[in-house]
Amino acid sequence: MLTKKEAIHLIINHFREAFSSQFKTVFWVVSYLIAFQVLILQNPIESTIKLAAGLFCIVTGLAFFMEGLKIGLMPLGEKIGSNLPNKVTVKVTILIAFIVGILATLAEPAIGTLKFAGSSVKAWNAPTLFQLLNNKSQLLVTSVAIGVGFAVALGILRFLLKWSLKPMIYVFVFLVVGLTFLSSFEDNLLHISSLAWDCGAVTTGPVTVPLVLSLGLGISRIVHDEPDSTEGFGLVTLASLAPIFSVLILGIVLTQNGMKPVSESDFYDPTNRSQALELFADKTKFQDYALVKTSDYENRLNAFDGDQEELTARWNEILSNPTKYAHLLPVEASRLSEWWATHASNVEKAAVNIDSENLAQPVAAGPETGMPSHFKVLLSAMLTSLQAILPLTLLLLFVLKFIIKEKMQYRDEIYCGILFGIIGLTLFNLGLSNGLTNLGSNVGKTIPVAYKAIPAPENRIVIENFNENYVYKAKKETGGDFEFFYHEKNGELSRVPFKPESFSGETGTYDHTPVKGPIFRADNWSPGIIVILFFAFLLGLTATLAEPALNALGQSVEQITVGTFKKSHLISTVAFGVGIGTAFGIAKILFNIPLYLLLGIPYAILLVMTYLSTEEFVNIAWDSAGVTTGPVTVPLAIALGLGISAQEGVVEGFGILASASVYPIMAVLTMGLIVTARRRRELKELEEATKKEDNPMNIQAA
Amino acid sequence: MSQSLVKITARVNRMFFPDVMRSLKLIGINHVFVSNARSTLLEKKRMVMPFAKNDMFLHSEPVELVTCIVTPDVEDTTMSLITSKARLGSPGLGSIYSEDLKLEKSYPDYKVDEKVLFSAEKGEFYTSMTYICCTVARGLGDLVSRLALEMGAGVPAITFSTGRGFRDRLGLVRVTIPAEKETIHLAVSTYETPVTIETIIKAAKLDQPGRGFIFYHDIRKGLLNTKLTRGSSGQAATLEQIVSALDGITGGIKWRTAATIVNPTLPKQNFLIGKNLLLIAPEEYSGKLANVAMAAGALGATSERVRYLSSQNEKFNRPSHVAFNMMATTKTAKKIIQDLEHANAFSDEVQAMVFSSNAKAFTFRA
Repeated sequence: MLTKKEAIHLIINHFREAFSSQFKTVFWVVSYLIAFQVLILQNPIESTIKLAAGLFCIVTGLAFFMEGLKIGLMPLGEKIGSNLPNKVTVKVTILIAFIVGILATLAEPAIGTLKFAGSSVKAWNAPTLFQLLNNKSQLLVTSVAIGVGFAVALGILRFLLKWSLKPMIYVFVFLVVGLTFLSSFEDNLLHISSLAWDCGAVTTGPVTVPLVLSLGLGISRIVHDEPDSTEGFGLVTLASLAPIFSVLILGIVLTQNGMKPVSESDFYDPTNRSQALELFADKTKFQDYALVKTSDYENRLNAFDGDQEELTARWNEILSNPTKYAHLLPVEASRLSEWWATHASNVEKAAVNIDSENLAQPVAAGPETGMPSHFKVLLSAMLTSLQAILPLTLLLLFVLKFIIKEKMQYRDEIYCGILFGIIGLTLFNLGLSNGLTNLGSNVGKTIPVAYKAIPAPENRIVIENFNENYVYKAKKETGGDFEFFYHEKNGELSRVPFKPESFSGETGTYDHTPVKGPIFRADNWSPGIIVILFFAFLLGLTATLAEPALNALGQSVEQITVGTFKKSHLISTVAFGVGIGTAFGIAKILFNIPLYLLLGIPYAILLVMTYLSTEEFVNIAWDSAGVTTGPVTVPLAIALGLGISAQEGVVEGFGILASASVYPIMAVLTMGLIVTARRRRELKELEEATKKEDNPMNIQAA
Repeated sequence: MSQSLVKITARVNRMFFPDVMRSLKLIGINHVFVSNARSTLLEKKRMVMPFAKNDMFLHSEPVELVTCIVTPDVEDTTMSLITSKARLGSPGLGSIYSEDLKLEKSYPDYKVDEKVLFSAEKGEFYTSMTYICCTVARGLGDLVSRLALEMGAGVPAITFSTGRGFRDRLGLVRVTIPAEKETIHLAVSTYETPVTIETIIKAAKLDQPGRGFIFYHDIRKGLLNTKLTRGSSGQAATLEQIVSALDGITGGIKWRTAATIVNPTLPKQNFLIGKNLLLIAPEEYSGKLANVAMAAGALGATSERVRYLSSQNEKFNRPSHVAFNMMATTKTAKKIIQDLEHANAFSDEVQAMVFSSNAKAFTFRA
């Protein structure tokens, strides 16, 4: 037995090892983002302490989470998988698989990220997409859940009947790429097809993948007697392809009777009112949307059927309760007056009686609950992780106890693992939302500066009681006049260019938001664009290294192939693929490449490669596509996509995730083809070298 | 009571595996145990790395470890057949060896393969070899196998295993000691055995607690894989081919004696001379049976997944088995077998079997 001191020593050592190995995975993406922001974009890091705390949470969280997967969640899944085929009928196995798939999706918080990705979608541009992301989002989640449930059930059936994965890939890819191609002819469906692809990419997250993976590996171990050891993979592939199909079908059904994309003014036209109202829960929601999202006063008035009093009353209600309507307003309460100044028309400014001074006061967070805000953040992170882990594990524990009636050998380890999983995921989510995502969205917002001039609100200057006497003139080298004035701030004098349009003579205020960039030459194939694509490549690459689901897949692959296929090898190959895919996704937004081309071409190549590859690599390669887009990559890639699409005026930032999932398959298959070809060649060489001395033995009848 | 048998283990390239299995079935070998393994080779780095410690890296290939347990009468035929079908005569394509083994107890229907339907031309095998089996923490397998390759001792095969014993006696603190282990299987010339074992013990720090253990026993006969590096060297004859040729000329591998045999300086009391018990049981019962064996006094066990492919029993539809290797003294070995019998291990339902062989083991506090 161990003494207390020895035990503590063991625990500390173990934690230190776990922490340092996770630190290595996160290190690259963080240092890369910081270096890019500080050195290239030359933006200061806003809050270093908060960032450091967030990163500490991520690393500790990952260490706990991976440990929890290893000792609790994955052994549980594998135990159930290896017992199901012997203990229950095929029908019951399939049913359990279906329920696991459904619960897995409902537990996956990443679906919420899609709403964020679609937040810039305007109702009139893509009505059905808007509807799916807002008042019919439940329908979207259900259709994804059914898709995943069906996929897991089909995948398990495949193990039981020993089917190959290849034909299923052919059928699914043909269906989804075909539907996507057809969708490109219809404006409404076009946007939904991007959403569908990204749904496929995000459904398979850090909890789902390890559980589904271990379940599949358990089943296939019992069923198979062939030497090909990678047959247990493939479930994740189906679970990422099936939801694409189900969402596309949902989209097709909804667009049949739904509203067609119209211009902004037509959308608010009373003749289209009944169709427009269908996109919202009630009329108030429709009007609120009109108030906040519509740039034109006439359209806003139209939404209120021309009733200006009602419009004014609603504005008063919203603007006097900025905390209550925080979800509606595009800016924080402290910057509301600034937004109001640009958003409202003169009529509204005159009619709505708002004390702009009052609005500028920051509103204390969460006064209604009395909870400190960081506690609230912790609570919500904890709820998210409970939601991700508990339903699935409870179902599995139920199946273990009441359906297959088996006991785990190390029950305490399983419970400890589940607890570690929850603690780990809580810390991880906390760290992500407070550290990495902030950093990512900062970079995302400012990155277009590489190739075009964008406003830099952090350098905004507002000077009261300004008059033109302060302005000096200088002669430009090119001939014109250069106007500027001196501005004193914190004891330092700086020279500020004077722009007449920023000066309001009536109020005497000089309000100027300077622009930044472009850092590089601004034209179509400017070095700036190349910098951005390269940035996207490195972002995808480094972020993938920290993905927990990929880590778990890597571990399983290493385990199953007895170390022939090393985890680090798989992760770096996949990360390279994700990097390429992210760059292509960004290129889609920059050059407006249609989705069917962005995905159709690589998928066509993939089908050929799949046909040529051995089953071993096909299973691993396609599974790695599903796991790549997890909690680290998704927010970063979407932030980048949104940042650029906002500058480019593109409807939505979808498609990056789907693109980031394709290229890892290609990378792994390429590696597989090379390895297989080399193995064959070596074998041939060995055989030829010894042909002469080899005397084939004859079997003789005894 | 116990029956003297021979355990034949072959390391077979994946490409030839189906052919080997088909031929074994054809000549009437009914029980075959297969486990996934990786075989390691040294490969010259193509790019020059300025800060790299050495210019060779370790390359892994997937292989299948095929094991048959037969009577001594059919040993030669079976070995020759596998050698021919898996092209084991060519350096680099695998190895084969046989060991003495006793069947201690098995389920009633288990019939040892004692007859073959065809006789095959007799192949040539060498003697004076030792089988070394070393279990270390997951991740250290490459270290040990690189060592074996660099010493020229032989080409190791590595399987993944799970450790039992020390870890189970701890409470929940055991989660800090990974149960996952790697087992390195190595066949070396008897003359190289002491130095190989000593080097491995020192390199893998097996003289420290919880690091793993090593055991070895004699090989009846076998063929060694002499190709230690990957790829063709471009010379007329590779070093491996010369070694292989010399083996043939001298009719053995005695000439390969290491230049200096260091007397083992390891603490003698840590070597245990006793029995190595091999328990093979279906996966669903394996945990329970392992507990029984451990409680009966087995000194540390490693378990490995094997696929038990039996053509004797047609309704036998569960290839997924676990093989336990346990070291025990002769006395405790008897008790373990008795306790297993009490636990119904050899019933028709559970269908376990246990074999024993003489072995020497080394571990911390052995």
